[in-house]
Amino acid sequence: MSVLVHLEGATVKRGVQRIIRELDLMVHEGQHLALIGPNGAGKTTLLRLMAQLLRPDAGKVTLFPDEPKMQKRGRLRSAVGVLMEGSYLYEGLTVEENLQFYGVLFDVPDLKRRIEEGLTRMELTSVRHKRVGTLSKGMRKRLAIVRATLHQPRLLLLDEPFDGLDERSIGELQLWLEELASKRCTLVLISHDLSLIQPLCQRVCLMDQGRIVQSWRRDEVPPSLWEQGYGHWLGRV
Amino acid sequence: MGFFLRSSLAIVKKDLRIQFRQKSLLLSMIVFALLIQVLLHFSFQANQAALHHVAAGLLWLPIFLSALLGIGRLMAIEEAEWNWEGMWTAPVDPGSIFFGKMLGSLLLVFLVEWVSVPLFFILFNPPAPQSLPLLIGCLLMGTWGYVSLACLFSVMAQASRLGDLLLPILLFPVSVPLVLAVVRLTQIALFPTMPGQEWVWLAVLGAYDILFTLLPILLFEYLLEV
Repeated sequence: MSVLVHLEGATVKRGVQRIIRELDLMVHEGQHLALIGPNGAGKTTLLRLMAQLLRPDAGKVTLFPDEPKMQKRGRLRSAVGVLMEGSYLYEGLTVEENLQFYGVLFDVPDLKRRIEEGLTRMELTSVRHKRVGTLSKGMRKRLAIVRATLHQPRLLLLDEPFDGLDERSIGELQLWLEELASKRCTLVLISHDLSLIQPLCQRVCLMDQGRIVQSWRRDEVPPSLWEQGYGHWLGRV
Repeated sequence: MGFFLRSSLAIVKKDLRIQFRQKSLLLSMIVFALLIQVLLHFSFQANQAALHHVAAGLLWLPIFLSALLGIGRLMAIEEAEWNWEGMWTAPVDPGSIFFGKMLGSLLLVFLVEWVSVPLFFILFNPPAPQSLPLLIGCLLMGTWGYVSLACLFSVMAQASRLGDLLLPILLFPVSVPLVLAVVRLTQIALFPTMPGQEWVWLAVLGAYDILFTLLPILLFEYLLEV
């Protein structure tokens, strides 16, 4: 299986503080990786590094290192879907207009059908002509997820995708992510709720103070992690 | 090139759609320009003789100031939901993002001029332009250069802690050659008695426009990364 993300000794500093410390990580194609850890562990910074929204102060971050043709900015960006802290949506535009805008920027083929599929999947068809500014937080989140996956990326980076969603939407999103996963989409996600990522992930990395302190394959994950959380591994029980 | 223009036009369409829907920004720009024009009218009412010397400034001042107001706001809509980052994650040439934002701003400023320039002629009653094509050309080229520069500095200002406050401090000193050129060209276009050096000033304006359109397009990738 080819490598999609390769971090070698990546370090990110903010002032004198090191947010990410000489981190090595490889994410293989089709893998579903969950990043867990307490606030300030460096999860979002690591995701931003992977999304190439941030350059490391030291070390190297390479996406699709085995594919020379993917080193062009356009091709690389077409293959990566990102859901970060900001929704990237415009409050003054309607749901459909937002998706059309990003559809053009991502040069999405058959855009109408893709928008239709996304809206149906996230149950947003009834609000397609409503301005984003009038939507609830959960609806915006669902729309942001449709936006991030509109161009069918090979690598999907999601920061707290379940945050703000109701139970039904969480179920829908889990199903959708499972479906994407079955299509060999590589998934890296951050979530504070371990129960939500349990069915999705093949690999779990526990982060603390800018480092990966534990990494488990799905079959190696101790049941106590799901039941009691990660406090034990950080010595904070 | 096709995708570059297509993505720029998508950004223009998006910006104008938001602005025409909300109306507040365009209206504020127009009202602001008109208010300045009226205030200047009152200031110079008593001294019509001075009009010949300052007419060009009276025409351009409301345009420059209302553009400053509008462009800062137009750039700020990309801050709310980290939308610069959203566009950055797309497979577009970063220069096309700048070009789209610049074209959208330019269209808004042209709309302001559509109201403020006729008002200038009504309020100050200068003689009919000696050369209307020169005046129109000067308005088009002058606005293009100023807006391009304002967009560049606005993005830089947004990234700083000072935000909008930094924009005029950066913009006004660098726009001095452009201001000189548009003022001279406007004087030549308006008053037959002014000595003609229009080609020199047109060349200055043209060079300025090209430089400050191409430079941000080429450097925008680095600007967004900051």
